[in-house]
Amino acid sequence: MTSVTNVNLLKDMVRLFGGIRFRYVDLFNVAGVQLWVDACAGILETLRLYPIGERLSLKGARVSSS
Amino acid sequence: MFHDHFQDHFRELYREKPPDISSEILKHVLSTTTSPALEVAVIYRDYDFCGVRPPGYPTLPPVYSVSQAERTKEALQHHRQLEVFREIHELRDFRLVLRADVWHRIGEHSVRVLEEAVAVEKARGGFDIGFSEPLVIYRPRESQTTIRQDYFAMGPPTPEYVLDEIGHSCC
Repeated sequence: MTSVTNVNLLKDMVRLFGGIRFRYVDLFNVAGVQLWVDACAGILETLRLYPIGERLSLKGARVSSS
Repeated sequence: MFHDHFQDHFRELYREKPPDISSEILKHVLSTTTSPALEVAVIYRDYDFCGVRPPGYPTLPPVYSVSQAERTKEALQHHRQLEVFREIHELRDFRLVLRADVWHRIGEHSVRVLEEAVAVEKARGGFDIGFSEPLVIYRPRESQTTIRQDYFAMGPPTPEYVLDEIGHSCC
């Protein structure tokens, strides 16, 4: 996912499909990252972060779950 | 020179529009994750390293000399990032990996920068039994990656990434 700014769309997807299941997802400049990661909190294995700046602002993340 | 301006433009773009995820959100995410084993990998790309020449100059050395002030600034950046991870580690346990996912011609340079950052942090007492030293690894790439490519063309995972996911726990 790249440059998604509508968090409500993601929330609707979660509601419609009864949750989110994925093997991995790349998130670049995507609003609602917290929503995605919360959805797989119990099975999250790897979080890959693409940092930018000294305070660990992040330009993207890859979330991998089993 | 064009590439320098291009890279600067995108750096400014990121500064003007802070990404959605920040260290605070990261703290929340990691503190609420209930997975027993969690690995956090920080992926550094070519443009994350100071003094790396942008693509388009094949005859020039890939790394150019930068001032001591710039080196210090880069070291401070790594220090502050590691500080954030140490804070987060107080919330939950995870394994930290620093991965240089870069053009093979700057592999040695990028690994040295990361290893020095870890060594400096170790000398400062930044690691202990609870928060151990991160693993520094290097993954060579055949070509240089630009911010623009990462930003606009991340797209679906490449076969390389798929194999990576299946064959290894992380990196």
